[in-house]
Amino acid sequence: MTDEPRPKPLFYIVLAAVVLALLGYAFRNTLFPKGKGSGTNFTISKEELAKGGTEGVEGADANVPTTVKEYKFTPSEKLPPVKETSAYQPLQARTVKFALNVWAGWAPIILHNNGSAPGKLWEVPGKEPFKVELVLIDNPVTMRDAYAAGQVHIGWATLDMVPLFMDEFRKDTRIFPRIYQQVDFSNGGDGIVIRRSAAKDPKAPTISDLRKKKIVLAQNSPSEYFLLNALVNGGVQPSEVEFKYTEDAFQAAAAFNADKSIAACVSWAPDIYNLAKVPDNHMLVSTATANKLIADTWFARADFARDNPDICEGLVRGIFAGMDGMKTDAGRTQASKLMATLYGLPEADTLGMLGDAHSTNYAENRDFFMNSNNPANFERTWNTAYLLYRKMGRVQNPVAFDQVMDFSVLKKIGDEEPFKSSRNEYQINFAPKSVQTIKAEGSEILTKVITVHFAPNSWELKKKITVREGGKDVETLYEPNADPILEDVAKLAGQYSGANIVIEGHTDASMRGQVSPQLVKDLANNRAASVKQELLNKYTNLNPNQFSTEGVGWDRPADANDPENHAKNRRVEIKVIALEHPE
Amino acid sequence: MPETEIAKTTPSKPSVWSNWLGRARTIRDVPPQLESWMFGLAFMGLALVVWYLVTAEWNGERFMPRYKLPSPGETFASFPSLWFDRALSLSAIASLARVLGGFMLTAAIGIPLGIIAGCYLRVNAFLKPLSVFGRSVPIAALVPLTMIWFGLGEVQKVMFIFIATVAYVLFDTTNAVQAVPDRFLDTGYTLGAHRTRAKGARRATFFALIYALIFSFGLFALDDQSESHGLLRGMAGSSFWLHALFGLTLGFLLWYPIQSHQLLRKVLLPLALPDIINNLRLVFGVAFGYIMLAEVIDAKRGLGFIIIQSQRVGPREHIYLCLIIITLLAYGIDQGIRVLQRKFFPYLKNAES
Amino acid sequence: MPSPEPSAGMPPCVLEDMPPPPAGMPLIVDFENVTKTYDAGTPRAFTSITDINFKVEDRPKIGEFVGVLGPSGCGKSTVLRLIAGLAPHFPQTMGKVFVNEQPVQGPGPDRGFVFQDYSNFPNRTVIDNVAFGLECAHVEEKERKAKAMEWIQKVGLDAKRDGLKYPHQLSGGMNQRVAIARTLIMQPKIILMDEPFGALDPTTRQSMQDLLVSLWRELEATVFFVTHDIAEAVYLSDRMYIFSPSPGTIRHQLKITPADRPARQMQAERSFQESVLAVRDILEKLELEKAALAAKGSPK
Repeated sequence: MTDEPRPKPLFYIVLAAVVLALLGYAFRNTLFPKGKGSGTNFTISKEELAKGGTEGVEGADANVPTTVKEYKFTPSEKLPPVKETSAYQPLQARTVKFALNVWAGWAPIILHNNGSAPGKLWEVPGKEPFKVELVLIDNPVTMRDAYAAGQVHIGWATLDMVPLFMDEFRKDTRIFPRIYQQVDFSNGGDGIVIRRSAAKDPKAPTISDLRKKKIVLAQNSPSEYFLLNALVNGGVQPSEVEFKYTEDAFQAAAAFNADKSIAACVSWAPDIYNLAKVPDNHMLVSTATANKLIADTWFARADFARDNPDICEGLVRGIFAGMDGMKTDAGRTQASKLMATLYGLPEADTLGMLGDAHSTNYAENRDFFMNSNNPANFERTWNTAYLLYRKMGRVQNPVAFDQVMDFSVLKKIGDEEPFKSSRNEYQINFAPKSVQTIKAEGSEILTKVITVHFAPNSWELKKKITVREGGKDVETLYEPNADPILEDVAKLAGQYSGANIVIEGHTDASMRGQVSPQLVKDLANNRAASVKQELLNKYTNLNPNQFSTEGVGWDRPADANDPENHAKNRRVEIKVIALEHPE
Repeated sequence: MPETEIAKTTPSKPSVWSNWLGRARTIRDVPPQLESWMFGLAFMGLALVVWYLVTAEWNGERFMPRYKLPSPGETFASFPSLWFDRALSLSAIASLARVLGGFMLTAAIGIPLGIIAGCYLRVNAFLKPLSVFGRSVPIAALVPLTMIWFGLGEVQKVMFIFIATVAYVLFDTTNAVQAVPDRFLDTGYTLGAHRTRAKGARRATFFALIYALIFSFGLFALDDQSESHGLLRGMAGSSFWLHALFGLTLGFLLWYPIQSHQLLRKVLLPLALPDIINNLRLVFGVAFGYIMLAEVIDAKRGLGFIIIQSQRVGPREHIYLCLIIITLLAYGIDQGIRVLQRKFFPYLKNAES
Repeated sequence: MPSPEPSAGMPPCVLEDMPPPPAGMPLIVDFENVTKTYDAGTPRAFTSITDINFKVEDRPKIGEFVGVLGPSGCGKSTVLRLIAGLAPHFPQTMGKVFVNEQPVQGPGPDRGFVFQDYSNFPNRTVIDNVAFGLECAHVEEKERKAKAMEWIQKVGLDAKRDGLKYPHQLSGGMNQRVAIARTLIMQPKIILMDEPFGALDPTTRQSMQDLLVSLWRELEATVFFVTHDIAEAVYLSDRMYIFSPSPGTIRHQLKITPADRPARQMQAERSFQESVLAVRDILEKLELEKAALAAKGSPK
């Protein structure tokens, strides 16, 4: 309307937009930080894996013990004391509220309690009996919140999940978990299924085929722990994999089915078995093989444990009694009936579920909690979970395992029968077979490549040499990492107690043409055998029959593109091989 | 009489205070704007005080322990970690973008279809079951289904918002069109409003082209593979052109009936539009809540994702912060839309909900 | 103040039936035995008008002003809407409706309609409201705006001041002026007005009546005018149809002196007031009839 050359409102709007955009760009790191722990940018070194996520109190021991080495401290020295007034829901008619999920491992407690409703009296010698109400809370987050709010006194979790809860639990000593008992190891309940088309060799896919692939799984769950652990052991860094997260494991299986661009999924029984039945899919690994990886536990609130030590003891006793009850067919039938009612599933399904978990008896519990040399024990599981989740940016400051692990009841009842004569029953009988047969009959899950500095022409892992240091002769290991290497291999073998472990010795090719190939093979074989021997010496509860050795020599360089990298080639490779083809 | 007593004891002051009290006690007395704000602020202040008191330490113990309810101080102190470690700003943008994407789709389909249904009652009767179903279906149960149908990526989140909101928008739009009084139709008719097929086809083609762009480029941008494939490779794919063709057809079918009749284009649509926009604004608020549901599935960012992560691994302070931030964001967006409403519909005396 | 004088011509009101139009004369509106029943064949069936017959001759360059009176609910609006072709009143159940000797097919701009509640489009300014019909007829923007401004002036509004206002910013009288301008800009041959001044106060009403008379003269159209105000009807009409109670049918056709003086002046005349009284007598009788009908129908 006016003829004055006044800028239009649009001009000001554009000007403001440009200025804002420039400011936004200039301060982009403050205004739009990228955030931590997007899970795409980290690697885990072997040393870290050997050491775990926290500094343990006694950790890996350099001395070689020849017996089971139990922790010498008493739990009460380490557990954080509770000073505040208790904040849980007071016991009504001495009834403990015990949360559990839909899982085979709870069969003993369901059997012992004769269903979910409080009724049966749980006995504690010399103390007042109590009752248990089993509360089904399938969602772990809901369960944790109910536990923290004091609505339930006892929570459930796989041990690897507890570190994820700790950042919240540590805020108040009253809700610190006291873990008294392991109820089971997952034994085929969890698994990783891969699409054959995604593998280099569709007939024999391995973990390394997951590199650069999409994998679908439930975040912050045993599935994730299972997968991360397998990836890192198989030499695939999590940053090399594209994770797709669903809310739970069932959704992961559904997503794998629906989206063909997803190479693998981590899920639960029975979904994994249904998926693996399809010829195009392959069960890469299940907890039937990695059978000491996922441990189910229950834990009490610290204030509850302080007020009711007798009830905690009674729970441990009762659950062991339930495990005994499960040994008879009548017990199993009864348990599956009760589970069918509680879980709203057909009885045939609950009976079929029972095999997904191995209930851990007293001896196995003692081994898990107290044996510091058990490569698949509480401490190592805890630390491995912390390491993986810290690297993924999920948890911040680790809590030491002995702040939550309470083996006082296990220790107390150890002198009584039937616990005293209890034996570890979770052993697989490995028939002696040649390496060739093992490789031919079984399917390889993963290969862990470990570079070892053997002294030239020596096969001794712990060869000591003398070096002059500050004018003195000091005896030192030629391979300073010998113990972390052993720890690393032992943990893998312990976790995969259901698999054959083949230790392959490799040498560099620097002397190619100067010595006979047979001599090199012998050296390589001796090196592998030395690793096996040191392993068995140090970790006495490993099964010798699980291990086989082979001397490969210089035939297979670590990197086909870089065959002359001698340091890289002087190595052992640990192959984890499932007992037989699942087909 | 207590009032007269007060008047006697304080002869000079009563006018202001008792005046105010008198007004405050009058039914439907409208307070000045500033006073309204003060009362709103007073509520927030009160809430903060109560929050502070129940979480304060008395003799070393708190009425509400930290894991049940963190104190205001603890909550706001966790803001830097929410902002920097959890990438709040990018997450908010990601969530907003998902809602906007789904909402654009909802509007693009729900509005024209609703207008047609509002005009042609047989179409309305045909779509009625959809409205009933869409409005009473449990939305949360759709999350895993959308994952199976649309995968784990952004398409799933956008489609979830679309499915969750389209029935509402469709139904509200139909109602808004039906609410236009008949006299405007009569007026339009007697002034010669008639069908204009050629012009309608031209205009509908324009809309169809926009739809083709949305469905081809829009879907391509949402697709997971788009980054690795690149635009040219994507355009070479057959699905790109199939999507474009689909959008073209859909856009034409939806807009031809509207554009080809002057009564729809010049009378019903503009008269119903304020109502339609207002309903969109309300549904947008709901959709903003829904996106949290969809972000349980493979969301690398997003406000819902932050809440889920905070629930699982803490800190729970972030949940409370997120709730406050989401509320503020939703309020801000709502106010923004109101301002636009007032600007674009100046003839509405008040763009109230 | 001018004293009331008797009009120079014939008395304003003749209480006689109109003679039927001479045969062969072109008719602008022709109702032949028209009946309208809603929800026919259902228990809710309701007959609004029955057996309506009337013929209005086409008088080019003059037009005619037809007042329609009757008890409330007798179907006066139905007749108007049948002429306009507006649903749900259109189409009739029985009989024939001709406009310009053609059966009515539906609404069209040749028959303008002014409603009681103005119905100006709230989203359009005064100019755009007035120009709506031209816009529908694809008249170019410049031309239709100019024409709209012209018509805004004609109905007594200030085109400059009021043209860009929205309907909600105008008074009722101004809104009705806009509605009239909006209708007349299309220069329809038939103008249908359904109680157009019903919501206005008496002063505004009289000035609107004068405005209407002057504009009608210019347009030379046939106006059908439904009203409850007898004085208004007597003042404006050349011819008056009085309807029986529901179901409505035409009871009387009266011929009336056209309004040739301003309303204020003419309505003060004694002969005018006598005519009004005479019509009122007829209507009161009809109201009694309606009450009797209702009493007869209700006991069961």
